[in-house]
Amino acid sequence: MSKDEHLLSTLATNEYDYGFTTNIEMELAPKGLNEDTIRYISEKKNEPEWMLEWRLKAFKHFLQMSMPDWQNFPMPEIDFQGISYFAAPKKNQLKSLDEVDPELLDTFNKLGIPLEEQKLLSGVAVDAVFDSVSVATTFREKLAEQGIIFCSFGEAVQNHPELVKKYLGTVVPQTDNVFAALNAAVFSDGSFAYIPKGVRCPMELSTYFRINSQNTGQFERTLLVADEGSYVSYLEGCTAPMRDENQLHAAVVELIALDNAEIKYSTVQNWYPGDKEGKGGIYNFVTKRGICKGKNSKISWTQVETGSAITWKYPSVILKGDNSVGEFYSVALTRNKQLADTGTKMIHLGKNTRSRIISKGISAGNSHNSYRGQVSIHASAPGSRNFTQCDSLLIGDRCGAHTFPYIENRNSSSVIEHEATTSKIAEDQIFYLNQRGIDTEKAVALIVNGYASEVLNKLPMEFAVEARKLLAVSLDGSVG
Amino acid sequence: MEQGIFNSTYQSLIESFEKDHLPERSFEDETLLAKRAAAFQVFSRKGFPSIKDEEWRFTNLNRILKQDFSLRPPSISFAKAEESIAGLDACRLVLINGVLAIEQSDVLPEGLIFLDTQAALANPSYSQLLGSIAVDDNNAMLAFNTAFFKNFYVLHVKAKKLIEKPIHLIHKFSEAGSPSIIPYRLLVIAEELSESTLIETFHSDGQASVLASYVSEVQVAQSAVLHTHLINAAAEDLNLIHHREVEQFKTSVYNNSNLALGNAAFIRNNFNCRLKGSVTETNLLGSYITNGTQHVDNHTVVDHQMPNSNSMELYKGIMMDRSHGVFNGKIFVRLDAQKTNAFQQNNNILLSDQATINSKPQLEIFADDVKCSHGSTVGQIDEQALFYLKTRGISEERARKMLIEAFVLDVHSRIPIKALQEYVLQLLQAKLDTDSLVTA
Repeated sequence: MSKDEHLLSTLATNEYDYGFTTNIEMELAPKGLNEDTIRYISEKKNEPEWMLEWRLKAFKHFLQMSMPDWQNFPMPEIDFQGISYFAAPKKNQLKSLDEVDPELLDTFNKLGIPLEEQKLLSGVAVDAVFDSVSVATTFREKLAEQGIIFCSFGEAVQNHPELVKKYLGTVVPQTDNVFAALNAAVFSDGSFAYIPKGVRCPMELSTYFRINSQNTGQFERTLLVADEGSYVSYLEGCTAPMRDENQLHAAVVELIALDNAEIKYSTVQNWYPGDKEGKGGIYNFVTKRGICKGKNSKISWTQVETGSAITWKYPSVILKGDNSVGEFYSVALTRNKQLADTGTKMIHLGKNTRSRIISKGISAGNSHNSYRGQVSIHASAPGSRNFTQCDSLLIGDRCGAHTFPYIENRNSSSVIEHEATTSKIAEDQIFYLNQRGIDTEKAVALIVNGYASEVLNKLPMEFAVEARKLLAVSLDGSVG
Repeated sequence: MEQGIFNSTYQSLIESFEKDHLPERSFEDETLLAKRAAAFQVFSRKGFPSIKDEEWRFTNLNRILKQDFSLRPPSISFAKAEESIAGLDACRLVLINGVLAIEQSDVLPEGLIFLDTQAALANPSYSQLLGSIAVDDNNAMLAFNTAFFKNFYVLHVKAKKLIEKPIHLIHKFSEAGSPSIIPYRLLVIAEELSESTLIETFHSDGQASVLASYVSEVQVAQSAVLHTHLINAAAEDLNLIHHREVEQFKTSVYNNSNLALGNAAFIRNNFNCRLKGSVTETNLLGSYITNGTQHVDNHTVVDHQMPNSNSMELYKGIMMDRSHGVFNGKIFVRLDAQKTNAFQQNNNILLSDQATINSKPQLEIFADDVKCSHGSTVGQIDEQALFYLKTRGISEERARKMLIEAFVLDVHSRIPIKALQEYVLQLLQAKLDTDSLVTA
């Protein structure tokens, strides 16, 4: 075996660090999808009537919809009846962290999310979602002092129904796509945050998603409302155990920014990607969209995608308010047989709206990485501006990089710029680093980190460190 | 599930295929008739492409198919094609409504063969090539042409011949009585080590009301050099759907410029280059200047299948009034096509709030040792440049014209024939001589 082959095989077999399972007593809904499942979930969560009706309406839409066929990968067969739509650790209704099952706390500790420590350090407020339900939310009181609501979605339905009713489904309607409809019908929990007028959220809000049980799907829903003049930074992380079969993750995230508000949403996605033969792994089919509803508002998406067997998501921004700003920064790394079809949509409706898209794809092994984006400047949006850059880096000769940008302009005072490049790591760059005593493996990691730094720099500190590590681990042993 | 357009034009075409069309084609050999039958199946199943077809997403054929088009028998009385390019020394070949007007055409120099339908189809080597370069079972418009074309021409450049005089193929459309759909096609063969230039211009007399379906298949053999130019100077009575499929072999060079400078109501160009040999070079230039309610759609594919090839693509467009421009450029780099350099650029200027541009530059790359890039911009005339010119005493209108001319000069200055450059400039200036320019 040549050195290259050896290195490539190390890359392929690199361990997935979060592949353990937690033995914990679970409450599982029977497999299958029908109205009874939805009633079961709704009843379990003790939901009001209007919520159940909303779910059932979504389910009706779901039944009428068919699977999309435009994606750049073969659509896997998904048996919606073979999935359990609700899985929760027994022992619910927690008053404080002390009541959380120690085994569960241990799990989050292993994942590097020490809920206990978080309590002490003034760091990040965490809402941890284990399979279907939110198990713990930290720092709630401290946030409440400033009027910030940060809780699980279930609690929000109970305690703040007026806010939920007002905003739920306004950005991602039930009819948006088949997975959004499914999510609307069966979503089990998720996070809810409301930042009141003029408040700058003093800490990062964070959700940590973990799929644990077998044969379950995770369908959570995040709703984030930033009222006038407020600011919030939100982080999201995900892991799952190693399993042979594919599991479905179909979440919906809705962001709403009113006048002068700013939302920064960061994701480090590290779902189990499947083994080197492409067996197992998570199907990450997520609908994420934000609306800059008010004037001068801003929504910024940052994502680092390294996990999942198939990643299929387009965090988008509807720029409705005048002078609003949308941003999308993405690093997507695929290896082995992973598939990623990701990108963004920037819909310019308001005057003088601006958007910026920086997408960096890295493909290795037998993987395929697609950027699919839409920039649409409507006639109602004079003076708008878009800049898009989507670069692809290819490592190895069995992978693919694809770009599908849709660019549309309907007025004469807006400017759109799009540029894309595809290349491999230049041999002279590696040679230069070799010369200075850096071995090829480290050189590749350095170059990739430099390549992705434009995006990584947008992440909050804690996440940037994690993301860098993740990239380095994923790239270990890959030689251009 | 097919989502095509199955309107009355479609119905009458389907009915006429066996009743009128096939009996006329009894002189054709069985292979060709089988090709026609297969293509007919595709077309009858898919119908005219609708906007639900990804390839036609931004181009709505329903708009032009509102008129009932019918297949008309080849016209016998020829109008005189006056169109010529001043200062261009070329061999003229004139097609009127898709039919060769022999008395208006020149004699070709040695080393060149040009054949009309009967002669071309009588030669099995040509009739076998027909439909074997442009192969796509999903393309309903291509299938329509294969099933229904009436006229077929072959331009054959013999091996090792350097043809200095360009060939000027004039496509003229004239009054046809009722709205007619005219399917015809061309096969160009550039043999090994040959070099030649083909200029094609499109014209119409203003009363044509024609939907022309033109398919051209081009084969560029090993080490051959072929320059082609397509200039559309037609009036608004022309709707054109042109499909060009080029296959290029080892160390060959193919250059094309595709300019829409006339007033044709509707133009759709499918321009596919399959680079089947290594070390090839391909340069594709394009410009589209639209006003009124014109719709110009350029779909291009550059498909790198073998290593060490270079391709360059530059398309520039200016949209005025309520016109609509579409650009879709695909670059494929296949697994074996290492050391590929592929560049693509599309720049657009919108001069009106009612104009629309849809640009979709697309890269699909399966090889790792490549350099590929694309760029796409949509913008306006640079206000600072405009101001600079105005401070020099140049009127706003004049300054705008200068800047627009400069914008497309980037494309037009790469046309290697001086007379053609001047002709293009004339067309451009005529186009800019409208009120649409100052509305912005």
